[in-house]
Amino acid sequence: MSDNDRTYIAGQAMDPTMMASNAGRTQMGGTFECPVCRAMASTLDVFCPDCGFRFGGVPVFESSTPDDIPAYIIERETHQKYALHEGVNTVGRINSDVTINDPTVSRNHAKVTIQGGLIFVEDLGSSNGTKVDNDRVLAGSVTPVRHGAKLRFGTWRAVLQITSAGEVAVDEPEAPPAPPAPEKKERTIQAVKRQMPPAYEEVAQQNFALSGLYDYSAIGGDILQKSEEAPEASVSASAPPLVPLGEVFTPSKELPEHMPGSTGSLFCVDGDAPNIPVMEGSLSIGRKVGNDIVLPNDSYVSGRHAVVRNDDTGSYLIDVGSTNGTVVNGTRMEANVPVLLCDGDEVQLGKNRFIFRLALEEA
Amino acid sequence: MDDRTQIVPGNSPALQPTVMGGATVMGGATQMGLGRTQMGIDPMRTQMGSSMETLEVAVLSGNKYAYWQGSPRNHALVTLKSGGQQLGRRAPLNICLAIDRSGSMEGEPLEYVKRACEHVVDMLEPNDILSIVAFEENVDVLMPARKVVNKPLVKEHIRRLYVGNTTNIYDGMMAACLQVSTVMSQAQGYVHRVLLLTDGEPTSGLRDYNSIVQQVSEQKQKGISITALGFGSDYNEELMSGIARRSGGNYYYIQRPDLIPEVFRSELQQLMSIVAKNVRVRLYLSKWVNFRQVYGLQPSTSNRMVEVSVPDIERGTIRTVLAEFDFEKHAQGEYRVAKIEVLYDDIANNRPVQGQYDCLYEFTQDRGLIQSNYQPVVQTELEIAQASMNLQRTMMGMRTQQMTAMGAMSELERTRTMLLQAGRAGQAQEVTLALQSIQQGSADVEKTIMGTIYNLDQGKR
Repeated sequence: MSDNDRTYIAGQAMDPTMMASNAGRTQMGGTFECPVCRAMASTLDVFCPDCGFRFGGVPVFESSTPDDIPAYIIERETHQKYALHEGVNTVGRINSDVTINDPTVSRNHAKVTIQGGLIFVEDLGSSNGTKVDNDRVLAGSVTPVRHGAKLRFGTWRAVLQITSAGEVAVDEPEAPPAPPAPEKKERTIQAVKRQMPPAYEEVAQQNFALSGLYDYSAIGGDILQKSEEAPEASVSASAPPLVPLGEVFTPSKELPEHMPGSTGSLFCVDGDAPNIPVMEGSLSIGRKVGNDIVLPNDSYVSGRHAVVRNDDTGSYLIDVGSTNGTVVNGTRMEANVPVLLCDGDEVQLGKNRFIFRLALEEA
Repeated sequence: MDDRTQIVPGNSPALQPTVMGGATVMGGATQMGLGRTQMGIDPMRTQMGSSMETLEVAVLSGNKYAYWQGSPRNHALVTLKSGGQQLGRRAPLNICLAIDRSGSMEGEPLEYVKRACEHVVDMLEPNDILSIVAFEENVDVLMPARKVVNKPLVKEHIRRLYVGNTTNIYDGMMAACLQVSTVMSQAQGYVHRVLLLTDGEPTSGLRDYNSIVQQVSEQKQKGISITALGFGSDYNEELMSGIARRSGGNYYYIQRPDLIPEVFRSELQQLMSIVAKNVRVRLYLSKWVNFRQVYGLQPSTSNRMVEVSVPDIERGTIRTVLAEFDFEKHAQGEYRVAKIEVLYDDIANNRPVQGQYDCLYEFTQDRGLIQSNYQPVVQTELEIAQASMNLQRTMMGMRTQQMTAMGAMSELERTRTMLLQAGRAGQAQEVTLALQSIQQGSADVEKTIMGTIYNLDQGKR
C-alpha cells in the first residue's frame, strides 16, 4: 500500500516496529519496502503481503557455514531433486531428510551417508528393499554409490547426482523388448466382475488421478504392470548375478514378504500361481484339491506335481512324477530326486515360472 | 437474514490444547519481544472466546522449520472443530427423497424403502420441508415440497410407491433438486439436501458420468447437496461416490434391504445436527510457495489463491483439510507462507462467519532444528491421506484386473496397518471387512472400499 500524497523523507531508517534494526528503510507515512522481496508494505502489516516475511526480524541471506549441496537424488518420474548434505541423510516416507511420498517406501527406509568424498547407501530394514543399480542392498549392509547410480527404494526410482560431477541422465534408455508374456491373465478376485461402461472406466481413472500429481499412467506403468528390466551389463561386474536370465521385477508379487518362519520362497514371476513359502516340513503342489498349494487353472500341472520341503540341510524341490515335468535352471528334474534350491534358481512348473529366494535375516 | 459478517482476526494458530493435544504454537514472536500481537495474547481474541464460535479453527504447519534452500512437500493442516452441545435450535431441513423404483427394487427392497421414508416423516417436525420423487424410466413427484404438518397424509403418499421399469437417475435427481430449490427462497437458513437411493446403473436418461456430475456441481452452487445411497451389489459405486463427493454429501453402501431404514435414520440425524454449512477454506499463498494439492478435495485456484469446499459440518465433529506445497529458496527468517481464510454459514445463529489465520514457517539452515520439529498431528494426517491413496490404487488395480487377489490383499493389509498406526481404528475395521470380502469372493469389495476411501477423504474423525 503506497501513499502518494506523503512526502518522502530520504535517508530515514525507521523500523516499523520502532525497534533499532536494519529491517529496511522506512518512508514516513506508513509504507516501506520489504527487506526480503522489496514489495511495498504498510506499517500496519505484520507480514509482507507478497512474500510473507514477518517484519521486525532480520533476514539472513548468506549461510554462516559453507552450504554447498554435495549431491542430489533425482526422482526418475518427475525429475524432482532431493538435496543431500554431508553426513547422514535419512530416507523414508515420513519425517526424513529425503521424504518420499510412496506407499512402498518404509518410514525408516534407508540412509545415504556422505563422508570424506564418498557416498554410501544403507538399508534400514525396509519392507520392500533398497536397490543400487539393480543389486539389492541387504538390510544392515552398506553399499558405495557412484555418480549416476540408479537408486530404488521400494518401487520408487531415482538417480544419484554428485554436484561436482555434472549432470546425470535421469531417464533410462529404452530397454530391449521384453520376451512375450504368456497370454494367460493373472487370476483376479474370484468375485464376478461387473463390466463398467467405458465412460466410467475413464472417469474412475480421472478420479484416481485426483490432483494430477498421481498420474495413473505413470504410476500404473510402475506398480500395476510387470516391468521387465534388462540386466545392466556395464555395471557391477563384481556383483554376483542373482538372476541368470535377467530379473523380472513384478511389484505386485514381490510386495508380500516371506512368510514368517519360512526359510525362503518360490516367487511366481510368470503365471498365476501364488508365491510358495518353503517352511519346515513339506508342501505339496498340484492341480487337484488336496494339495497344499493348488494350481487349478493350469492344465500343464499334474494332479500331484511336486513337493517343496525344508530340513536343516537346506530347501529342496522334488518332482513326484509329473506328466510335463519340472525344470530347474533349464534342466528337467528326474522324478523323485530332490534338488537343492539356491537363491536365484529358476523353476518352471506347468505354465508358471518361479524364482527361489532365501528369506533375508531380519534387521 | 443477518448479513453482518463477523471477522475473527487470528494471528496464527492460537491453539486450543483440546484440539491439538498440546502442540506448540508456531512462530517466534517471543524472540522479538514486539509490541505486536504475540501468541496467545491477542487482545481481540480474548474478548471473543471460543465458546461463542460455532467452529474452532486451528492452523498447524507440518514443521516449525523448513530448509532455506527450498524443499518439496510441506504441509499446512486446517482443523475445524465443532462443539458437542446443541446450542439453540437444530438446523431446519428442506429435503427430498429421490427413490429408485426400477424393476429390480421390487419386493423387499421397496417395502423397506417405504418403511425408511415413514421413519423419516416421523423424525421431521412441522417446520421441516419434505418432498418425495420416485424414478424409473419416468419421474413421478409423489409429494411436492411442503412442510411436514400432516404426517398421516404424507405417509399415505409414500404407500403409493410401486415398481416400474428402467432407471433414470439423472431425471430423478433433477426432479428432486427442483423440488428442493422451488422452496429455497422461503427456507432461508435451512439445510438443503437430496437423498438419492438407487440399486443400479442409470439405464435411461442421461447416463454419462460427466453430464450427471456436472449437474451436481451446478446444484451445489445453489446450495443443494446430494447424499448418494447405493443399495445392493449392482449399482455403480464410481458414479454414486462421484455424486456425493462433488456435492459434499454423504455416500452410503447399503448391503441388504433391511438396513435401509437405519441408514436413512442415520442420515437424517446427521442432517439435523449440522451446525455449519457452505464451509470454505481459502489459502492465499505467499511468494516462493508453490501449491501442490489438497488431499481428498478438489480445489479451485486463481492467482495464488486456492479454495476448497468442505462438506457441511455436524456438531461434535472434527474436520481436517491438509494442504501441500513446495518451497523455493527463502532468506532465513520467519514467514507467513499462507494466509488462510475459513468461511461458513452458522446455522444456529443464522449468519455468515469468516476467520483469518496464518500458516507460519521459519526458514533456517539448521537441519537439526528441522528434524526435531515435525508436528506429529500433521504427519498423522498425511499418513491417513496416503492410506486413502493406497486404497484407490488397490481398487484401480482390482478393477483393471492387473492386481491379483494376493496383491490386493497385501495392499489392503498395508493400508490397514497405516490406519491403525494413525489411530483410525474405525476405518481400519472397514478395511478388515474389505479383506474378508475378498477372501469370501464376494462382489462388494469395491463398494466397501469406496466407502472407506470416501470417509477418509472427507477428513472426518
